[in-house]
Amino acid sequence: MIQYLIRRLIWAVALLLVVTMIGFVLFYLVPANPAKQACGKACTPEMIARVAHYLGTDRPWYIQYVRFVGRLMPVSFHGGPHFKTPNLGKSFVSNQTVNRIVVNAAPETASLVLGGVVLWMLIALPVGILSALRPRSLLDRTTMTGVLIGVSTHPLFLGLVLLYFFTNKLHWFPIGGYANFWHPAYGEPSGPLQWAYHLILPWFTFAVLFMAIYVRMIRANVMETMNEDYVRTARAKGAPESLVMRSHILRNALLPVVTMLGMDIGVALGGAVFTESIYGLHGLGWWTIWGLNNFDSPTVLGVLVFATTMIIVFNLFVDLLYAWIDPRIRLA
Amino acid sequence: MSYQQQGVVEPPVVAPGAPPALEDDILQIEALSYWQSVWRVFKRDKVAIGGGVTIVLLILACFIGGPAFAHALGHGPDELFNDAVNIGGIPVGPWSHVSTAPYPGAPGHFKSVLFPLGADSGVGRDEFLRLLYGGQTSLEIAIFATVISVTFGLLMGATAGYFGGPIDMIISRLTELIMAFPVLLFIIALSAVAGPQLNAITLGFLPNGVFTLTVVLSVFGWFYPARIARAQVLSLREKEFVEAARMVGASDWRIIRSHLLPHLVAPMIVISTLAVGGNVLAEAGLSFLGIGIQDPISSWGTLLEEAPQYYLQDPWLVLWPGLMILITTMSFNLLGDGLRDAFDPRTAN
Amino acid sequence: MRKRLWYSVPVCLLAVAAVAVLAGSAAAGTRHAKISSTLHVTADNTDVDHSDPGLAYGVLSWQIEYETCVPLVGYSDVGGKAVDSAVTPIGATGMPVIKNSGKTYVFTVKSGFHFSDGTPLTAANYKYAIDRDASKTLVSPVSGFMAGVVGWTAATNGANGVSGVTVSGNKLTINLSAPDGSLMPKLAMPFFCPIEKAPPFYVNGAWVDTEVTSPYPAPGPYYIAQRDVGTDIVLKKNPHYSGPRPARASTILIDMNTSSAGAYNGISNGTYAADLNGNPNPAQNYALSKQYGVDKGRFWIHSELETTYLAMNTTRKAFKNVNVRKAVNVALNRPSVIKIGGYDSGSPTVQVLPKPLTGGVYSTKLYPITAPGKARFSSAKKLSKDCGVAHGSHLNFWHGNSAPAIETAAVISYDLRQMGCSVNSVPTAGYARYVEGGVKGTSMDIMTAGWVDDYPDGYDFMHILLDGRTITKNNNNNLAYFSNKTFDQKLDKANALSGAARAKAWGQLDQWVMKNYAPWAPIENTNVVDYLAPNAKGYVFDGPFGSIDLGDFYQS
Repeated sequence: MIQYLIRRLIWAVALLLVVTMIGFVLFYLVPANPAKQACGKACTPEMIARVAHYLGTDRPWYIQYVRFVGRLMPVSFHGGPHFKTPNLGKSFVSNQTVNRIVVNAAPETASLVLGGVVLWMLIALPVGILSALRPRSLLDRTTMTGVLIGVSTHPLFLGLVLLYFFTNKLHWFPIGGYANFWHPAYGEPSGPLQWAYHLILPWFTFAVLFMAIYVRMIRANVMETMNEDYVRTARAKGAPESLVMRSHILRNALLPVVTMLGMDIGVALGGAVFTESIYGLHGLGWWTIWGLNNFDSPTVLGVLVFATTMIIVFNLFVDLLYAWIDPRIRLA
Repeated sequence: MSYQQQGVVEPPVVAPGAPPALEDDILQIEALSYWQSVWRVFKRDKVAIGGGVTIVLLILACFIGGPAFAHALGHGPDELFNDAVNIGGIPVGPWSHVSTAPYPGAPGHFKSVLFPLGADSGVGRDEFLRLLYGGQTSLEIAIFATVISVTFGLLMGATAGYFGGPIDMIISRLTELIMAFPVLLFIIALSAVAGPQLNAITLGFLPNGVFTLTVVLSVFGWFYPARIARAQVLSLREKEFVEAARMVGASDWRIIRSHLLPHLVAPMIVISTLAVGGNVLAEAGLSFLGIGIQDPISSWGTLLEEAPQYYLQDPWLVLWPGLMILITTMSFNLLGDGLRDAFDPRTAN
Repeated sequence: MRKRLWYSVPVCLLAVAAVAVLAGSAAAGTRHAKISSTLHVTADNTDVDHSDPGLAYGVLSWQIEYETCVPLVGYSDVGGKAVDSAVTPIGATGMPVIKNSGKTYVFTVKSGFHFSDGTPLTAANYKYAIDRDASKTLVSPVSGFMAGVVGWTAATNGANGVSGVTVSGNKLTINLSAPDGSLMPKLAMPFFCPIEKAPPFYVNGAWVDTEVTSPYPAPGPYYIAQRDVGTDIVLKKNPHYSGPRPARASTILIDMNTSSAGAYNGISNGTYAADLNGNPNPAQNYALSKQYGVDKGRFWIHSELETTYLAMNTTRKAFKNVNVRKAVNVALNRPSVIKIGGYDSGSPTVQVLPKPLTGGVYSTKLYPITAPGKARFSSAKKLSKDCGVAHGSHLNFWHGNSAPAIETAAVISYDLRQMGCSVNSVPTAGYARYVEGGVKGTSMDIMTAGWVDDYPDGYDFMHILLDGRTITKNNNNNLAYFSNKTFDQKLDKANALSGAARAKAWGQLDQWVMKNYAPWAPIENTNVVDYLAPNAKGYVFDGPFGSIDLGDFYQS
């Protein structure tokens, strides 16, 4: 297990380096001139050069990259080895640290994705299993139609339609924004109830696509497992149907779902950008768009690196969990 | 790249009962009967056929219907009509007759034209024509990106699966790398960065920006077909008929071409069909965020983008492009599901 | 092993929850308790550029800085009225003593003002602000205007403080390398808001530049109590402020970057008093103006300090002739161009300066501002002698390439053709148009352009856009390439004035140049359209700042 853990950790770090490298080279090619932007409209060429030097954008890209990675490291060897907070850099445009942007944005994206995952699993698990048990029943047919519509509907379209009916026409839900889960802030709605109330439509908008995909996947897995030899054997040996169901069919059918869930977190994190933009949630996706529209490469790069790190950490966690569930994996 | 591909269950290896045939003509007959059996299953699937027919109709409507209607209505999709916007700056509603004057009250005689679905926005263009011409843009991106990514993915995957070794290593690692990306965020960032350089490339017939999105969606789209192709080839490689071909001295290229690729056609067709739907969604999403196709070129994404500002006066503007996207994606999904069932009788229960 | 699988799903979800909770609590650390008597406003789809007075450079951020600031000189503000358009002493006891033939300004700082932490405001605080703006670390946009201050450039290169600015007791002395009549309006910019030499501005013996997100003491009626970049700003009343300026609400909460629909609904139901970025749903402007009337209660229209115009290149064959330039002013259909931007998006104008900068010398009668008919086209045609293009040459008309810009260009081209011109319409992206149009000898004959003030003073338009002495090889802002000795002399004379006489002089110069030389065809001043909540009270629009006066504004 230790050896497996080390192998996965090394791979994770390598992945992270490659991703930052790709991201960095990509954004080095952005033709915008951050120095000119930071300097304003009454700026002379000498001043632009001075700003560029101050921002470090006058150095070759590889020097900038080495500096970027150095800031990102959780350890520093400058003045003796010691731990430090990884630093994602500073925005050219808003002049704040990207760490702060991430600290403010991550809870909104996490709330959306977490709630979305819970919602889609809560619905996909029972619906998928039930429709697999009763293929071609009314439930199954309805489900499969729903799945088809679910995978074909754009979250943007769904979000706009939901907003139109549920907030503009019926006034049931707020029209967007994020309510802080913990502390009341200056007369803003906050607290767990408001938090959930503000997120109901976003959760649903975000979850529908994945819900459809997971219903289809769970249904297919369960149906396939039901035809396996060992299920027939278990039944032949006279095992009670509930036991067969629980320990032979569902266990084996749902094992791949755990892996898929781990892998889909990355996709989901990206997919959240549509929901965030429709409902005015200032999450990681929203800041990425903000950074791109303002030609602010530190923000874009910082948010992408953070999101990637989260995905890698989560995948690592799922891998280890999976190795713990199924010891065969470690040996592979 | 479609974010729904991740969740699609990989089709099992298709081994349509091909015996270890050495003679090409025998294989030909066998293959024919396989396609015949596929057609027999497929033509009973009314829903899938409905999807296919809808796709054909959509393509005809956009590529032939667009110019035909433009001709019949007497104006183009990019023409601006001051009169198609009312005094409050709101686009006129469906079935409006609009004057061609540069502004109301301009001296001179000007004729009127018909806007079947009204105007698109505060600049007054024909929503109906923009929907059809926008469909051309959206479908071009979706289809080109799919063809490129599936072809490239097939080549890479088949090579990796057949030869193994370093190529296989690279492809597997790359796939794993992509899994670690917040893919959509990277697609967004890449199109924003590459846009200014690539948008002007039209190859003589594409609208501005189509090339960029095609490239970006292909760059992130080939991994999934590559993975499927690799898995298929890995298992086929050990089959008796490949062994036999190798024993009689067939070259690698000949084995790949005559014995492996025919088995990959079915899963690749299924993947392509499903990927087109995903790419239509991706185009709309990127354009909505202001990163894909840019005004004045129309696409379903740009139409969806400019609609929300008139949500109180003309909510229909959201509905038209939204429905077109829904119908297109759904048709491709139906067709894809039907094809998969037809290709692999095991799943069609 | 069976149990492990069933445990794994909740474990997965718990892990996600843990990440969310950790991140959430970190962000929540800066939040404070609920406070009554709050003014709640929003700014849809936008944020202030900075909350740091040394960096802030936008209409929205300046309104906030003005509320927190006691500038040396500025725009006087009494409750219930818009701020004055003339620069007057605020933190100084009176106008400065000017010595050394206009190169030395001596200000005496008033006593009695206090920062929100109780510290008295002194002359040194003004010098700190200047030193920090000029410091190498800050890179303030004000540097572009201040190179004339002795020692400024040295400080931007790393010298410790601006040597030309000195403090002795309550006296602040500013030395210039050459006389500068626009120094007073420049000093009124929030860049020079006094600060303390303490965190968050001064840390470990150096000026720092990280965006101010923690509360910092300010001497104005309010201070910034909280800033979450991209999300909100909270202003609180300065308990030590004793000056005359209004401060009705004890807390002002500004939600940034809300969605248009969210902001509009919020105003309609009284959550937000108003949107500081203007009516968030411009498509509703017409309906709202019909429902509530214009400037009567809940729907207001005011001009911003921005002029959109056609620059006519006076060095080109077609527009050398002043009569052709005048004819364009006669033939131009201003209302139709404005309509493309949306109902009430702008007010037609025929002057260079927006109305608040003219000291009352403003007229819409110099040229017609209504839509032209046949008669006007034929008189323009006659005046310009068929556009002066007798030999079949084209007018190169440069304009933007967005859909509204192209529709605008269609209207303008039509007008130009009606007066006999042959028009070659060239769509170009905004930035490129200014760069290429700014190259001396360009083939541009006429182009659409716009200018927003840097600071509310006529000099910022007249000098930058029409002073012939500033024309260089590249990067010209004088897109009309207008060069006229009499104009330059009048400009210098006006720039030597101060107070109300100064503003009036700008207005007179404006009318004189438009009447006699017409280097531009002004089109419109962009409007700010305010839609107010039913519970919004005390609405005052500060013309010179182009925004709602937050000190007067409150919710019932």
